Amino acid sequence: MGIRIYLNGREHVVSPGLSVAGLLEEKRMRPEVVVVELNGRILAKEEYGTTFLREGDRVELIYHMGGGAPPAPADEQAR
Amino acid sequence: MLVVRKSLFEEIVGHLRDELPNEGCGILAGKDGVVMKIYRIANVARSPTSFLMDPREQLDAMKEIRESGLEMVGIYHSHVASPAYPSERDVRMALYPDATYLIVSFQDRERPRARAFRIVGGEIEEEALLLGGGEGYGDKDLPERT
Repeated sequence: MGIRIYLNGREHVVSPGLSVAGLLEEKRMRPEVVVVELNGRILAKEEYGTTFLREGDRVELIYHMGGGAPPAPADEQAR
Repeated sequence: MLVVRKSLFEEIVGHLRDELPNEGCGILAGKDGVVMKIYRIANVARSPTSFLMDPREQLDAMKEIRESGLEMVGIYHSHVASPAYPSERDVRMALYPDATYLIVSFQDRERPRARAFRIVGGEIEEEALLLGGGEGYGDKDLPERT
């Protein structure tokens, strides 16, 4: 019997005892590039392995959005 | 193709100009490549050469977009002193293959330039960027290309 959670707003069934880290692994999402919100709270990355999903949990998984300009010429010379 | 109503495009440019000398960033919401709403997101990097969206604001925006029945059609940010072309960092952090990446360059601050790209698996492909004058986006409303 699985556990029903809401993943990015959609119903999703996971195995009992699955951690957030396990969920990321299932979704093939690298922990270092994601933000995880569980029931309205953003989790610290250190919590992923110790936080286990429960019936009715609301989980939001998003990727960090970032980037920026190319290095300035001085930065390139410094390499 | 990314279609942006001219007033919204001006709002994007205005937001990014407000963030100078740092880079600015935000999310484009809409449907089928047509931008209907923009979300200004704080750049927690607070840097002239990089951006990282505030995770809380990003989460809230993405949930609101979903709940309003729209989609995230794109992500916008500025390059303060370099061309409107994805940097290596932009490519590395482009993790939404279905999104269009709109980059506005302020290399010439009087005349910002914008270009749109799809970035998938490290490959950059330019997309047409069309500024619509009206709400209908018929051919007559799409005469301009930046």
